[in-house]
Amino acid sequence: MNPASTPAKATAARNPHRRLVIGLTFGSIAMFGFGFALVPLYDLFCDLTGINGKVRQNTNSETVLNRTQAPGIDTTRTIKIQLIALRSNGMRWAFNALDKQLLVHPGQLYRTAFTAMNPTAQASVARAVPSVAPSEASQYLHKIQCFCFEEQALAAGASQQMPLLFRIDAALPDYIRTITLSYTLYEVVPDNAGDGSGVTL
Amino acid sequence: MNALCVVSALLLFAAPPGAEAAWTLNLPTGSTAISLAVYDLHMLIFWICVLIGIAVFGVMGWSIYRHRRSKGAIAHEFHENTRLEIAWTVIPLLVLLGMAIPAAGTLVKMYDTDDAALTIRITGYQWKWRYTYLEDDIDFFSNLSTPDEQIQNKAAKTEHYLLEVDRPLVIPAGKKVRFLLTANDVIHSWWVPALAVKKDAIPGYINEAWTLVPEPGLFRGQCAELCGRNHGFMPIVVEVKSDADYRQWVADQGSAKAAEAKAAARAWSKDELMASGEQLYLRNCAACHQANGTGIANVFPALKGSPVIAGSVDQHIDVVLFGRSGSAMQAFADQLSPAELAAVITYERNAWGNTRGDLVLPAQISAAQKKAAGQ
Amino acid sequence: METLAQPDPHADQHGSHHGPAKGFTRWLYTTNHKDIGTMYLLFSLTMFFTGGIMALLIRAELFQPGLQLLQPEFFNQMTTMHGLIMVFGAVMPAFVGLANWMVPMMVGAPDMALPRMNNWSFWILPFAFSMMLSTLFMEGGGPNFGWTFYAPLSTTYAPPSVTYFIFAVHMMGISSIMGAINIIATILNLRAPGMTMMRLPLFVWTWLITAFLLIAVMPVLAGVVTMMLMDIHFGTSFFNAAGGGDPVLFQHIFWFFGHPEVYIMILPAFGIVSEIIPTFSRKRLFGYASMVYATSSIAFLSFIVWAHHMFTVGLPLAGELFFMFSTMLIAVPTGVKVFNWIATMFRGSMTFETPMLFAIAFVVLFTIGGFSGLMLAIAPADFQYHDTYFVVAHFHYVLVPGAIFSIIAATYYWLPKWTGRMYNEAFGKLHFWLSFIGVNLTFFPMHFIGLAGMPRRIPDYALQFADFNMVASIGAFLFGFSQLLLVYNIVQCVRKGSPAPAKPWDGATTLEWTALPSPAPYHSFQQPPQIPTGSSR
Repeated sequence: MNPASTPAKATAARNPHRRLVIGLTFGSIAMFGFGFALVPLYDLFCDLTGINGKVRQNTNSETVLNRTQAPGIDTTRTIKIQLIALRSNGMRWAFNALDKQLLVHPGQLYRTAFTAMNPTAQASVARAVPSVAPSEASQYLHKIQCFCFEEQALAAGASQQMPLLFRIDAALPDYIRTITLSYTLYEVVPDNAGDGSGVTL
Repeated sequence: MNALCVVSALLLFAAPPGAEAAWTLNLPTGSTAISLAVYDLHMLIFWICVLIGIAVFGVMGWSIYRHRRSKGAIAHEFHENTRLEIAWTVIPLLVLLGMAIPAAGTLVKMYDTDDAALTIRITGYQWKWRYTYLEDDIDFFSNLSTPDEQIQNKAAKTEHYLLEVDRPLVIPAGKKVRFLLTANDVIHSWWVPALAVKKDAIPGYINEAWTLVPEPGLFRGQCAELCGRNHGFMPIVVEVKSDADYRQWVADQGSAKAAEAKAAARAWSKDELMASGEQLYLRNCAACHQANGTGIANVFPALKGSPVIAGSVDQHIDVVLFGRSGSAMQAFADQLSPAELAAVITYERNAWGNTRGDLVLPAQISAAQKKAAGQ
Repeated sequence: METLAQPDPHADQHGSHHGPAKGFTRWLYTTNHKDIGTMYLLFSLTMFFTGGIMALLIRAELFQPGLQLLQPEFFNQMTTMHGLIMVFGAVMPAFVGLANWMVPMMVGAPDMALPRMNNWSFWILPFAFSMMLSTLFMEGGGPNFGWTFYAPLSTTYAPPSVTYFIFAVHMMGISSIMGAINIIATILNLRAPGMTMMRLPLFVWTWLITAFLLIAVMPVLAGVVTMMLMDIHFGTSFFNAAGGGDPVLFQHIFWFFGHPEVYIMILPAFGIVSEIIPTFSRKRLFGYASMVYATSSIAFLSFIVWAHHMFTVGLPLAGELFFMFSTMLIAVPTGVKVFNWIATMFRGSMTFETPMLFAIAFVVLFTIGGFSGLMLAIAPADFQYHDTYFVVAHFHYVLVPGAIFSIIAATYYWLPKWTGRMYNEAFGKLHFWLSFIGVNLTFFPMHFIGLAGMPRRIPDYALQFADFNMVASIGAFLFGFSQLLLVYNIVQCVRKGSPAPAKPWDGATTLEWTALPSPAPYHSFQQPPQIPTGSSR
């Protein structure tokens, strides 16, 4: 219990602590970053595996067209495609699928459309969020032309056809015989997040 | 000490079928092939746990009884035994493997949603379910029908308290029915225990589930994911009808629609609208805006003295019919008939000291809806 | 959870150079690991009773069907706050407090490695929890979206107070991370000569692993609440489908934090029980090395099982299978631990003082919680159990007679070392039996209610669930009020307990018993202790 020994020891011990503490602090900052990195990682993972049915339009239509041309058309199989138009809470546009159901052959290119109409007295902007069930099917659903995630603007009283050009990959597993493609239309307001309470009447 | 043995003994005497109420101990077997498979898995893993429990707690109980100092026990000096330690790592691994195989088999079956006879879209709303039949033109909402007096203990609770709805989901027996689940606002979860179907309904996304109920019957369930204030008050009732009855029911839905249109066209008195409006308000609006129209500060706006109601009637109709984007205010255009909407709006304009004095007629609602549909 | 400010008459004998300062500033400015440990434990005890009162309000409402005491919006705030306070305010600070007291003494260090940071990491907590509790009095009410705060219920549809909740979580996270850094630095750098890693007491080992888990996942929690904050106030769309975000992503990130968090709340408990059982069996811990490896594998596996909390969100089949298998795998190292404890008791020479009673109850009841966990791992069966009272029963079995019992056991076990006085054994045993009966009466019937089909987080329920709910509520009040015995016992111990010898438990082998007097002096091990070479575990 020598009083002098305490401060001396503490100084001697500071160096190893410093390295460790810097390392661990760095580690926790890195994990904070990792939390955010999970967002793009998750999207990448979804794209690769098609989980959660989150489909993205391939921006380079030409390559998709060429890539998916290759296996040819499989007329031995008929796949039921259900198309669903949904409107989110408060979305005012009329929104419908032109074809509610299509019977398609894998490999063949199909064209259909969704119609939207803005009945209100104001111009407004909306965005359609797609979802596919079963989610495994989303990686076999190639959308050559699609309006997913794009902002659509409609003047008061105007209407529009939003075309969808798609092909089911011939590599679609046998056990998938029905694919549902839904679009949910959301209103794009300048501050979509609201003020937290989100409720004003 | 051997609590698990006691439990297993108790479970052996679990309620016989039929004696549903009160002291039920075990998972019900349910009414479909899948629910039975799930029940079997449940019992298998349960008995595995019971056996492990008997062995583990048995040795423990024996030690506690025999190797106590008060009985003169002297501590032995062993603290390692590699062979034993490897054994109790490997044996559980094998047991688990034996468990995983049947579980995976059942899971694969549950995921096979294909070749369904009909598809029904189920949309979760705060706090009700919407059922849309993709193949037929049927689309309706299903609300809790237990009266508020029972919940507030002002009336005796009836048999299916909190598990009853105004319009049940109707499906045919013996046919594979596919469900597509999504939500309008927050995440809900559609669960009917007897069918062993529980799937989350997520806004913006669709999930799949299916069922095949062999015999007609009535099955009850509840929302299983916390979805806000009335999460405990959005039950599910599934009515399984024989094929013939089901087809009759589908046909009836068309005539019900015609009757609704007729009601919208006839003349309505203010008293009539106010009376039916109050009932509809309590069932559809009071959860947020409160029975006395005062809302909840900072969360749900008050209707008493509301600027919207003080404004133009068209704006009021607009908010009720189409909701408010990005808020909890839903669109009621699809939920209620024109006559009902007219009644609710009339009531809101003339209740709790709101003195607009005017009345809104079903025809005005129909006109607003036609306009919104672009006709 | 323990010592009230002891006047510390021994300070003069053991280093008259600086004893504790007097008055409030002693606690405000202290850098002493024992003072900080005491403050953590008292804070945790306060939070335990705060969260406990909320639990009793919940159980009172659920005593019978119908709405009696609480309206649904307040009921939801109570379930949310009860969860948050018990997890972040009661269990985690209690373990940090125990680590503060015991880790330096167990490894032969004079204090924690970073004493000033230690002070900060404690003093953040009262502010964080004041902020969180204050939300209950704000307009629109406090957080009402469950302790798992799933988006969009916690973002677009949340009350305005959610912002305060987010900042409170940030503060708790910073506190935990600083605490974890300190514990790691102490264990790695301040061990006495001869205290090799494989001689560390198991409590120290489990805490080392826990601290690494904390550093790995608390920042992820901070990340996810930051994303919420941005979604609410800055117009981003991480979790908002309208802007191309995904509500399910929230659950993935949350449970990436959440599952390791579960082990953060149980690994130190494993450590405590691994100290107590050998002491009162008068026999060395069976399979010390395998305990260390099992703890490490549990920690590793905790990172790859998170989606078993999400079996019903619509994962693809391959995902369900992967998470089902990996979850079942966790049963293996956990089983090894239970087997080791029992092998330690086997052919020992056992006595059953209060800490041992709580430790044995821990092993039994935690194992039952483990069994229901194994059942929940079976994905098809989980579709029936998920979000029902079966889950509530499961996690309360691992957290109340698991984590909480271990903390109570640790309190009774180390109280003589902390205060220099013995607690009242008869009251301790009474406390144990009332708690044991209360906890089982509360949570066992919840298995039945869940299997019968009652969802969790509902303020009112159908009539067929009424009987067992009544039993559970009675049990909850029994359990809640019997905890007052713990407080009474601690107060009596501090005020007039009989003096404790340096080593009141004859089977104890760790440094705090063998090398220090009772109470432990304010400054201990200023000269590193001699570690007898033969004392390896």
